[in-house]
Amino acid sequence: MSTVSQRIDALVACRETLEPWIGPFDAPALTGLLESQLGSALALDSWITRGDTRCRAFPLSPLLHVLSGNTPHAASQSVVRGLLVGGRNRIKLPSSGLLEFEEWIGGLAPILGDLIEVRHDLPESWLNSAGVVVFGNERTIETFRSRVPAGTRLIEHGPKLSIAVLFQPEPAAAELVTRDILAHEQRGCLSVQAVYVNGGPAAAKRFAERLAQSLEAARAAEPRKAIPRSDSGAISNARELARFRAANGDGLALWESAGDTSWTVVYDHEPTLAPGPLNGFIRVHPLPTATLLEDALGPEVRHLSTVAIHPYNNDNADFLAALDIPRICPFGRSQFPPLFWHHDGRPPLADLVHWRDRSP
Amino acid sequence: MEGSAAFPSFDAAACEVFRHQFEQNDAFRAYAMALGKTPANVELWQAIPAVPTDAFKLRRFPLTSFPREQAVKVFRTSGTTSEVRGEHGFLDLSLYEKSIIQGWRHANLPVPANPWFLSQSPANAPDSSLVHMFSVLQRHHAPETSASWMIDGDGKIDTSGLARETKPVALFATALALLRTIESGKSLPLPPGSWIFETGGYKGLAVELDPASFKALVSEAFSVPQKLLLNEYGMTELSSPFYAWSGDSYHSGSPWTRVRVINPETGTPVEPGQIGYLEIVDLANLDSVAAIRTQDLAIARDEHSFTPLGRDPGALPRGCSRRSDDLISAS
Repeated sequence: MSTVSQRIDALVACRETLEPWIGPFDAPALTGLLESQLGSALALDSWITRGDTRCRAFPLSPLLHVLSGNTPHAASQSVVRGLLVGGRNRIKLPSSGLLEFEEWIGGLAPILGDLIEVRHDLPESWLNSAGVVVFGNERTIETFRSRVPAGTRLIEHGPKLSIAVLFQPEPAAAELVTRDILAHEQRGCLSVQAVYVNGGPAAAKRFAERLAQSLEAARAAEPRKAIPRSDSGAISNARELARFRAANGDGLALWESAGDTSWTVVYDHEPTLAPGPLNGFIRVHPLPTATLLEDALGPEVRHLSTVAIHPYNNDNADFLAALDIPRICPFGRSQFPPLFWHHDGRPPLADLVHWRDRSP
Repeated sequence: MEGSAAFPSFDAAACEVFRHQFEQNDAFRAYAMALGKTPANVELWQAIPAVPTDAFKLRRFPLTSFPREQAVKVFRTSGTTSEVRGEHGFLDLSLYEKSIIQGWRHANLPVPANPWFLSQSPANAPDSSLVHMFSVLQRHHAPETSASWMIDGDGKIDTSGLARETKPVALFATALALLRTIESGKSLPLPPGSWIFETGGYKGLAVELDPASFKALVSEAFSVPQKLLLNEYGMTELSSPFYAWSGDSYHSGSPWTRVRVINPETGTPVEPGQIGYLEIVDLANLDSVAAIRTQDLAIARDEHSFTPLGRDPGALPRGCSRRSDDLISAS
């Protein structure tokens, strides 16, 4: 049985691989994360005193991680958390695999590697785990709700999307939000799929044009890799429908890459938030008033994960309070959540332990 | 048809239809102009801009060459009550119905002298283009028979009349309705000499079947040789269907139609034998838009025929069969 300190040292040893996925960290940061979530980093190794009670945290073990194929980020965050608390981790990989992630797992030191079992299929016996972390679409989540035995702790990370809100147009804003849009080809929950611009339709349209220039420059500097035919088809469909509406005076404007689908900007005066076809496709809308915001954005609001704002300050963050968003960050940072973030609003380590008390 | 034969070439007929629609169909004209296409620079059918099927859902921009309120018939795409359904309006149905009858004849399909319809009736599904097509075929080919519709307004299937049939029948159905009937467990061998017309997909639902398994299942359940299964590829947004007998490797259309397969990444035609998005030019769509961009994947064989590969998995689920699937249940 390893100690927390040993596991932290082993994780820090593979920091170079992990940091692009979970952000910068060191041993004090991991210790601090445990303290913030469990009250003490020692609680997993020994009995600690809380008032008149001695208590100890035990990891949910085995802990099943059901991973999605979007990016290695969520997968690595989930598994690092599982390793940090020290239980056995069962990892169900997506059918498409997660090559970089699998390579990292394969190279882990025994102190961590011995805590991990990886499969591409899902044995029925794995459903009898102490806890289950599921990443996936609504159908996947629903499937696990029905299959996991009653009483098992089920931690759901369903479909999410992110947006950006520009309160004050500045030249640098387009370049910053371009990073939020293009990173990982918009496949992650933290990928920005729409930008809302304060100042009315004219300001939003001006920003859309500026954003189009920025996307074009970014693609020229780093061309997009080939994408599946279906992905091209989804972009092409969305473009043609936007072109049709724009041509008919429906308050749309379209900017697009020529000869391919590598980037697309659609200005849409209607504020309804809708998932886009990804791979460099972004919608720009005028920002509704605070009063109308929630209704104007529509039912997708409940799937919001992150909102990148510019300028980043408390007043602007408070403007969005009605949306009940788990995370607000500056432009350019949506894809880089810090180690301490509450993933989908949950306490990521506290969810992975149970407590035993010895009370007087 | 007679109209298209009056032109020296298909291109001439297609360009005339394009001119008509450009002049009379406001929503289409705006879209064509956004793409830089006008009667002045469109000389080949391949140059006619194809309208995406989703545009038929934007009811505030009706894709008709006449005032929307003058429509004598509006067919609607399938969909649940919460989904927006596409609309295809007609100023009159004569050309539409002629396309069905002459297309049937052109494809050299057998006369359905004793048709049975595993579908709702026109009274129960007045906005279904498929049901209307069934009705047209029945009135044309078997006017002396009373049509036998086997799905009621509540979606209940009743095949008891068909089970008593002794003469060869032509059974018209969606693929889903056939599967639902099979799932009900009732044996329904059809008299020798019968054949089956089936259309629509069934992917993405509870049933997981590849096309070969589907054909084998239907053939066995209805005691109809696989070679007598006729598949139709049609859409609410079109007026002319495409047909293939089981065993054929491609679907063929009528002389007044053309097909092209497009690479969605570039918008240009794919190389022969390559997969892409299917676009169809149907000159019988005279008062709506002749060129339609589907969300189906296909391989073009030539300008008249193609091998359909089903709905692009990246597209939203829709299709002729889904409406029936929402409704039907075996009695």
